[in-house]
Amino acid sequence: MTIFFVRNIYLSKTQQMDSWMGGGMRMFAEIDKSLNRIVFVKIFDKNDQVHAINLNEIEKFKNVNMSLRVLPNEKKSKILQKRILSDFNDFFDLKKEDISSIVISVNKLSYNESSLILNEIWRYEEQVK
Amino acid sequence: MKSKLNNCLLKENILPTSDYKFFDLILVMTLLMFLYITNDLPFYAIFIPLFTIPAILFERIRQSYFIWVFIFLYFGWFYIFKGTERYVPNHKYLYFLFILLIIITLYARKKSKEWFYIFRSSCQYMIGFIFLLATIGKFLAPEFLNGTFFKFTLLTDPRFFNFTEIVGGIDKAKVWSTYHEFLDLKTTSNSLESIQLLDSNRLNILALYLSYWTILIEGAIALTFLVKESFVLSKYRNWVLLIFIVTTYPIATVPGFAILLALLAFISVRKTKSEKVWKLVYLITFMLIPLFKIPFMKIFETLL
Repeated sequence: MTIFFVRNIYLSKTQQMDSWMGGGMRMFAEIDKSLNRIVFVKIFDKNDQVHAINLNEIEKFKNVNMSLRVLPNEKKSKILQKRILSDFNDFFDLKKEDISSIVISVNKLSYNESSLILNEIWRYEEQVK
Repeated sequence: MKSKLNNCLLKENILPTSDYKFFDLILVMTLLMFLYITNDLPFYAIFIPLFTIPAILFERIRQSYFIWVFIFLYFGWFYIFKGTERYVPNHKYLYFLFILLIIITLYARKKSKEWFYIFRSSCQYMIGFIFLLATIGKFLAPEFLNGTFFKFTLLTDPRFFNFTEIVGGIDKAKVWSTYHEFLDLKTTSNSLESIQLLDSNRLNILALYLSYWTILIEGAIALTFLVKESFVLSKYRNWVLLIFIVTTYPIATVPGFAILLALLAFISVRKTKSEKVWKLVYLITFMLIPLFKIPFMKIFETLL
């Protein structure tokens, strides 16, 4: 139990893991948890217009969505990016050739002066040729 | 191969003492727990009955290493290797540790006469450690200590809404309206969006009270379950745990955690006359928890 606890502290402090996860018994202490996190996929086109989707709204990505929310990392972001690009026209009204860059961000909920706001905790960005 | 398998399933040369019989009952309860609770993934829902039902029916199967090592590997690979890949709540790690304890006990009972004492003490310390780590975790979260976490929970977790209305004095319609805004926020495509949560002095005081009550009761469970038997505090452990169960489960039940806690507490009870009644309390709690899965509210609404 102590090993899971130490791992939980390490991963949540250094790699933005959800502090409720990983067997660390730190449930019911922080507002930020994977069930409240949001993954945004933002496409920047060549005219610098932003086209954004919230992954919570796309059922087919629910596993990679949850995985990124629990512990975001580059490997998972690349998997998601590939899947988004392969089914691109299902989500964006845009031609693939017009993509300039793709940004995947994981956001947590924070409480600030009676407001719930979104704070970015992980960002993966790649230019598309 | 066949003879090796038979050896695995053969009952060891152990006298059916009261400890042996009690441990056998624990094995049956553990298998029932897996059958009822750990079928959340389709993969588990299909395969778990295939090995738990024969083990519940036949003592020879459940008393063998073979089945427990199999269960350990079956659950263990997922929780250890996929624990940061999927949504795996903390009690699933506890299942994994508890199965490990059963395997060690099956081995230890051939080696030591104290095997049951060690098993029972391990379950007691497991409860103590769960709540010790949970309490430390709360001290590591400033938003818990200043009441923000509970304020957020009272306004965004529907399990608390009746409590928020009655004790917090907030109009239920307003709470539900805020909740729908909260759900909309989780599906927004605009990362700059925010929502305003309801606020009142009474709600802030309630949130602070709940925060410190949680720390107090969880800390007390940790302390009473971790101190030696000779300390007076240890005598109150069952009362403290019962207060936790009564004040927590009716509002925020996590059946998977609650059933394991009831099982660990059932094992931890000493053989003294004064503690005997607690065995019955925890056994009833253990048996009632699977009933939480029944959609009482839907049945009630249908009948009306």
